[in-house]
Amino acid sequence: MQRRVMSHNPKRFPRRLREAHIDMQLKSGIPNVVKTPSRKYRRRPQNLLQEYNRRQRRFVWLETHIWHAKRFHMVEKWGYKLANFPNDKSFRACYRACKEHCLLQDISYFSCIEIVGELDNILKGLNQLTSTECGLTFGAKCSLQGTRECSTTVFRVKAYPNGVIGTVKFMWKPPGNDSRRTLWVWCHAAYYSELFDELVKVFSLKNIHDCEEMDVDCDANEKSESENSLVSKIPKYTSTDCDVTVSQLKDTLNRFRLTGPLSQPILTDLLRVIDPDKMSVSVTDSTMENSRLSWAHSLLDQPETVEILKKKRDFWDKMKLFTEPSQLPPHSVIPLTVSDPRYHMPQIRTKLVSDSEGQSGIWPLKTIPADFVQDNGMWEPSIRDKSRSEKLSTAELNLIKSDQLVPGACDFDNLAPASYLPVILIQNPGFRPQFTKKGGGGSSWGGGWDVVAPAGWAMPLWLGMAWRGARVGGLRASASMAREAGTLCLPPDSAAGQMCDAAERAAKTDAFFRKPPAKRPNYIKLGIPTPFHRPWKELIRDWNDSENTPSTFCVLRSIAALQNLNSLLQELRNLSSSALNEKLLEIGLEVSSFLVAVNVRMCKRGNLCENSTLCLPLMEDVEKLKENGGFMGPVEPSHVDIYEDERRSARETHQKQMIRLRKKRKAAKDKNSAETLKVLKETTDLKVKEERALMQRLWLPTEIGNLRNGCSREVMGFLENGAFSYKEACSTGQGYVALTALLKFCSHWKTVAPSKYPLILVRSPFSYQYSFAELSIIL
Amino acid sequence: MAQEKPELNILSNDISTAQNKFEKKRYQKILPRHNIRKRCPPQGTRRNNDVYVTSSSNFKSQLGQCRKLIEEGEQEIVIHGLGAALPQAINLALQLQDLSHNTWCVSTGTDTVDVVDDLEPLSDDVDFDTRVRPNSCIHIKLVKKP
Repeated sequence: MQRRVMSHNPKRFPRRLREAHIDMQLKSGIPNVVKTPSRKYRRRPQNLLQEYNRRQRRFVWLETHIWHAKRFHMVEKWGYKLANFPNDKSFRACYRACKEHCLLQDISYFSCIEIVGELDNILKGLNQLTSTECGLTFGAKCSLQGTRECSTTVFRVKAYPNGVIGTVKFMWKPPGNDSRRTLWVWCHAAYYSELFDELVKVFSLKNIHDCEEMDVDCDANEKSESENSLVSKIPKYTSTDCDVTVSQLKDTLNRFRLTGPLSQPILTDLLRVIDPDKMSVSVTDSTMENSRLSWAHSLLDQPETVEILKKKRDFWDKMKLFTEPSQLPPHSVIPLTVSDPRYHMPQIRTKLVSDSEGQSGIWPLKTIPADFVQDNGMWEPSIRDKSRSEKLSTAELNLIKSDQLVPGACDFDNLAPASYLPVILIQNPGFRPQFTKKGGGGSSWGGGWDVVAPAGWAMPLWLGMAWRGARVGGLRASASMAREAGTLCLPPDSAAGQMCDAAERAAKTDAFFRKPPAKRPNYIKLGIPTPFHRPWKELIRDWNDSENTPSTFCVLRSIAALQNLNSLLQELRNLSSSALNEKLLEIGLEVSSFLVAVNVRMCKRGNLCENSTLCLPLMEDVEKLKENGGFMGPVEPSHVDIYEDERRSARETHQKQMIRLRKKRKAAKDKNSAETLKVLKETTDLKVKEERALMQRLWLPTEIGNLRNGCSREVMGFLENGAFSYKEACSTGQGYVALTALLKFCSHWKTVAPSKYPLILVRSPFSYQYSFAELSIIL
Repeated sequence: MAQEKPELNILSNDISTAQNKFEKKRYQKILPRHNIRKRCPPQGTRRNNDVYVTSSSNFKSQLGQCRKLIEEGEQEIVIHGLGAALPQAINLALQLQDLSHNTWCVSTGTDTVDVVDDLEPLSDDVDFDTRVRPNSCIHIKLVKKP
């Protein structure tokens, strides 16, 4: 609704006043009002599509966008429009879905890069981006057969341990007769372009996509077909010095994540695996009205493929006997060819339950047989395209449905032409238990399946899963899942992480200064110099000698080092002090620029939140706790706000100035001198801006003094996130501490250890109260 | 990262000075070449009256759950326990019997199931592996006396 319609539309005025009104409007300039087309016009399919395409220009939509946009709050992130959180209540519901039912997420913003070439050539290039110290790399023996998906951390070329890009998942195409191998690297959208730039450097890539010229002779029909196909649109690059081709499969594959035990029955019910026996019957049976040969029928030509298809069908039948995805081999890849999920939609939205009666025949399933992964159309771009073009539109299916005599009941298998799609299922074993407390969550928490499907098939699969009882979550659900599991994403030493932190900091600072001064916590008095971000650089600076201060910081990722630290922390109580000193010396004193990722778990009351400071307890705090179990923790004395007077006087002078300027403006207005008025207005704006900048500096000083010893307890690190955890039934959070600080903590803690687990002090940015919390290292 | 190398020694020192079996056990937990991940054990029936007891489940709430089943007129309750949760499962059954003043009879069956640990590789030259170990389980059937 437009307010004050009358002043915009003169026709709504009484006729006698209209002329005068039009005159006045002409004097002030008629506003350029564009008439909005009628709703009927806007909703025409063609125009609607046009509008959708216009809106996708800046931020890419996922295929399930419209479904999500009706139900979710959408955010613009990493070049996509992504669902953040649903409009209904969801925190606890999403947690329950993860734990007992099924949580469904569209993670198609994880983009795929395809690398094709000789194995040695590929590995030679990619090994420059990884380090064997951080676990598996692209050449891992366990991944080469194509039966498992593995993950690795990627760095800039030969920059380890600095210059981290992020964690990627990768899977190899199973080896065939050809010596060339294919690798799919799945990368988060936040660092996709960064990774691709590194690949360009490593393989010295050159774009070849432009070289493909359109055949001039082909008729219009063929032309439109080739325009529709996604194969020709995939950007392809080739290496100038070795035989390696890289294609960006970004936005041509869909990836869905199902989490929770119910994902097993949902998938086994949704995906009807191709049955070669039935298919060969339908091929010979020419009486069928709508019979048409789909791409999948060509699979039946080779007897070996038919054998594999039969094996897969039998295997998939057995999969129904498993009640949980975490009963299957971890990270296993299962490629399948399945029929159109719309042919088997439940009549109404239902919730499936697993009704397994024992798995005597197949338990324990140690690995997925290697020949199962062979011959999947998913790896062939032409087959992905064919399956998309052979897909019947929903309108066509509805036409078939409407022809039926009995409403609702419709056997598409016999009525509609067969249509198949290739999918790849990837088992996700869930998070490793991170917290120290006994029984703190089973090992299978967060386990489920990832489904990779070709473009164009997102909605049929999505609706099929949602209608079988999966609860849909957004980005917020992912974040809270990671927090419950005790893991961190987007590290602070990567460009993507820093960008994310900067955006968060700007938003929070903005929100802080939008509040009236009386409603702002005084962070100077609280002794929190950085309430909206985590100053890692300054932390590392303060924990080092002034002579050899490292200019950068990075997160400790070496598995051996992390495991040593972990065992050291766990054994603190049993170690003699001489043994401890020895170990501390061994770990080395040069490890100065490292941060260590830690999990923090609140011992008593109180809630953790992001940007909380992690501090070293003093001897007296620990002794007090030892004497009195109910001791909550020390209290930080209030700091002196040296800027208070300055703020007050600045405010007063500013207000006086503003009054003076207002008077001058009024005088100028009365004199009708437009020039002076303009100058005065500009001065006022400038003064206001200056005042705002000054006030911001006086509220939140930009220069950070001594961070380490700024408060009564030494600062070790900060929390990246923190909140109440349903899984742990207490407040938990994740953050980083300086390695030097952690080593000092170890030697410090040894002398008095009142608890089984190492305890540190945590303080929220808006509180004086320190609280005790358990510390453990994220492996 | 050259400066990190000496740390590897800590682990080897640990093994050589391992004095008791607890330390050995701890060593197994941090096998350098593999991560150990325990798979979910196989589950049988999941009817309404099946109660699976684990070491992390809340005893009191499961007792309440069983009492609720009894109040709802269930004729039979089956309590399952595996490995370390065996005593807890037995305790639950006995408490229930006690609460119902011996109006329910208890029949116990024991069994062995194979549970699987997955060994996930930590370095490039090792493959995935599994370790199957037999574990005892108990199925306690509580039936209402006629």
